[in-house]
Amino acid sequence: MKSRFNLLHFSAIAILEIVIFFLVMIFLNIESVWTLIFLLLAVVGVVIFAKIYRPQFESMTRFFSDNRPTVLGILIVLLFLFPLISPLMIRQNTYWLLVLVQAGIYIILALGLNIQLGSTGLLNLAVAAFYGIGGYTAGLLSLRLGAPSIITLPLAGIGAALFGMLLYVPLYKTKGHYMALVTLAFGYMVVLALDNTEFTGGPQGLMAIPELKFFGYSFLTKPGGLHFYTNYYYFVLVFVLLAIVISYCFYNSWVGLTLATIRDDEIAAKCCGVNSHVWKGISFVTGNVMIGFAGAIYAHMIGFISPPNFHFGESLLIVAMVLLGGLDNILGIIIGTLILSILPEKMRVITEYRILIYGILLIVIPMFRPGGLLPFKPRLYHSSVAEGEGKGRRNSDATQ
Amino acid sequence: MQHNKKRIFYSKNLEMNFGGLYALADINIDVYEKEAVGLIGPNGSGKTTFFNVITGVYKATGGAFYFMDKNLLGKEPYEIAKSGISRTYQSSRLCLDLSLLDNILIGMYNNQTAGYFSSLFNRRRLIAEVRRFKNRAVELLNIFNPELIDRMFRPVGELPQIDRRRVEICRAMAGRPKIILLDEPSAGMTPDETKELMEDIKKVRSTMEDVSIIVVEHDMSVISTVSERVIAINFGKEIARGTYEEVSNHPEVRKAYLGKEV
Amino acid sequence: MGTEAVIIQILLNGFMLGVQYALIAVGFTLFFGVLDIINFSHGDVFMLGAFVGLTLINLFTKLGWMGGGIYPLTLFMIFFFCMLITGFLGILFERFAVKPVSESPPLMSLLATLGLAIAIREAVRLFYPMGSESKRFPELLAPIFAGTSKAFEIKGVLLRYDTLLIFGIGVAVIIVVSLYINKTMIGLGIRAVAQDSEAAMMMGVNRDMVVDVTFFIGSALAGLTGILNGLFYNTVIFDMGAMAAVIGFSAAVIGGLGNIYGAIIGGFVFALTQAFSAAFIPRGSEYMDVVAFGVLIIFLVFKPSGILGEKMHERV
Repeated sequence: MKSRFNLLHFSAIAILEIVIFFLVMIFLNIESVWTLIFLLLAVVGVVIFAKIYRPQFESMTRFFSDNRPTVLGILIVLLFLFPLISPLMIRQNTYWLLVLVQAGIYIILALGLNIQLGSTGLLNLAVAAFYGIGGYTAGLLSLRLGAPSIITLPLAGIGAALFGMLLYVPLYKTKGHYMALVTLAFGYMVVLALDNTEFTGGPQGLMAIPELKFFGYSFLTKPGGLHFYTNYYYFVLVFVLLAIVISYCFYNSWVGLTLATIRDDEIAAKCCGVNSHVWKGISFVTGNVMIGFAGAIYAHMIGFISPPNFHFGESLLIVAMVLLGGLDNILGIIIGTLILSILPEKMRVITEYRILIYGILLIVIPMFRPGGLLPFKPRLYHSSVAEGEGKGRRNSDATQ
Repeated sequence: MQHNKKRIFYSKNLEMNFGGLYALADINIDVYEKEAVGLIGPNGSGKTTFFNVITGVYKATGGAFYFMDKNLLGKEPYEIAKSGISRTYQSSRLCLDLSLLDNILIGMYNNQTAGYFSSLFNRRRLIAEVRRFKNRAVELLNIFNPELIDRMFRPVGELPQIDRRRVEICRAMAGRPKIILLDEPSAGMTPDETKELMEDIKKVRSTMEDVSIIVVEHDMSVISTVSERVIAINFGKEIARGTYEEVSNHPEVRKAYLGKEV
Repeated sequence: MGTEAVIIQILLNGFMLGVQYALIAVGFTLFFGVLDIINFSHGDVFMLGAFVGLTLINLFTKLGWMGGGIYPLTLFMIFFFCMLITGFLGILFERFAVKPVSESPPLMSLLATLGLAIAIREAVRLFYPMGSESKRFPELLAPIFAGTSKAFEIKGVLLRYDTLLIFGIGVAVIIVVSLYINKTMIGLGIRAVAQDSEAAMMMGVNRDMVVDVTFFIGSALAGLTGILNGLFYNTVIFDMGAMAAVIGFSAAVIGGLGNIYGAIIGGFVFALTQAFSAAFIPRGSEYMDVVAFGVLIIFLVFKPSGILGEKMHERV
């Protein structure tokens, strides 16, 4: 590619990102509600400012998108440094580490759901059930059979996928509202079955699920005196990055195009030669693998799971994350997930009202911002595709 | 009539019954290679149903239809599309939120070789294919409206009706089908746009010389300019066939359109 | 108990629940008719009905109207005001949340009504006094039969008069509503909008008014069902609406969405499925909902248009 390494650009981006990085840590430290509200207002102010000075703002976003490898590279380095620096910066360091790990798990869940809901338009109201199937698979395998983590994690994904295939049999025969009802009923069935089956521990659930352990390295080990959550942080971070890469690859490929066409007009897709039943199944199962996998990580980390963890409300929360961020927009979904998983933890006062706020969000988003925070982005496949003819990309990229 | 040419499509006693209502009854239509057939008839005469049946969207309740001597009755739409029949729709069925490029690329679905695993593990091959397909899309857009090339990465929903129809025609052509079905291409167009569109349809034939076309139309000027042979149907039955002059002067046809004997 | 007694017991349970499911399902089907929307908040309107009823009972107890000769009137007022209040709340929800999203894609509107459902549920949990605990619902109907034997027996099954009265009220209301929809002008308007809202508007039907009335009726029915449910189980809780919504929607779908008789039949089918699986499947009472939902899914696959629904062809 034409872009060479530019030291000036590199240092500008590095400084900016490091500043933001420290600002985030300061943000996590803030406890006063009023400061938080002030901060939120400041964010709103910045958004309005960006709208007024649009051209300048656009040239800035273009600067970032032109230097995407640099931006992402530094960001990833900073994310890897976080557990090392945060004990020095943040008072309730372990707590926030845990919150971030859970946010990471939610990102994997939301990206998995996005393949179904965002890319293909399959409203899966049983996300939490598949999350639970993953968790219970991992928990049962390690508790009852003593299976090692390297086996439980992939099998959890496969378990969720198998149940997904089972559910897909009735799913592909139904449409719209009916399809939503099938997934909803399935979600209830799973929770009710878990609740009433002795083998899965009934309402008490599974207790004392062993921690993750790879090649003799237990995740309860404290690396260099840091909290053991650090292990999970790195583990989840790696898999979040992997989930992002997978989502990105699917989006920018024939798979993404085919699924999007099915979502927007199934008949037109079929008449172009797309076997929509098969593709919807592939999409559903792929999403469930990611969701089940996230369930296994959660089960091993927390060590205790029970049916209420995977209730319908949890499904709605994950759906709200995808909707808030923007259907089929990976960056948007990550932002949406971070907002909905970190902000309530930050505002202890509103924790009580958290679910009420999710509900109101679900009403308000379709009314005022049906596309979510970051809506439509043209599929570019690869930077080289937009070269040559069709330079229209330039003025299209920035306006969105 | 067309004895020197090869017959590539024909239907035999094709029948579509919607709970007692015959939308198609005993339809026998044949199409030879490289020709354009016009299909006319008043509203509700079964023209669009005919398209829906032969693309597999509706399952015919009786008869059969053959394409390249293969019976396609009861086949799924994707199988029919694969065999080389593509279409446009009366009220356009583009994905308005997707980019113009995406809407044309999906027309080449059957030519894709980079699948599920290539998108993860063989990006190089995928991207090479995307670029190849994109060049074909540029080629097609160049025929109809070169200005559209600059808007390739914009959502189709931003385009005016006529350009949407062009994109839909590009999508239908992209996969190099043997037959293209055009379902009322002039629907929702102004008279000027309709004229442009007739030129466009001629361009389709000059670009893809071995393609056959079936046009369903209301606008007689489109039928008379575009098609060599016309078939008129009413109440799901054929009432006349021949050249445009023959059919348009046929008493049954005039009766069907004007509602009385002439 | 003999087999006959077991069957009678199952049928009794099935019909008691069936009438409640039917009342909720009618709402789902009516809303779907006029707005083409699945209104998931309907289950929580049902829950609101129970809580409004409870509040009225507390109020009347304080006023000292819960005894003596005035009692039948008080009872009537509880039912009446509860239906009135939930009916108007239904219109309120429709105006501010349901109708504004009814034009968006089905997925979005479904999620919006799910959001509304959660908002209502959480509002009750947070703002009703001790809202997160389950509440005892008084046996309102028992005092009516104070002087009598209170129950009679068929083949060894004890049938309580007050329980039968719950069933009777439900059936009576269902009959009144179906007569209303079939015989009155407003009912005609509802049916016309459900058939083809644009054509109905051309014929001079005031669509907004019809939608309001439909939501009033549907929500009032749900409110009444809330009280009946409270009387039946003697306990109410803020999250009782979630399951009610799923079951009500399921019943409407089983019967055929948009068809009011279908909804009624669907309600009884669902309840009888539950009752029979509770009785005949090993550890059935625990798995009855799992079975009922399984039946629902199978039903959706083989007869997605429901028992009385019409098969639709998608326009191309």
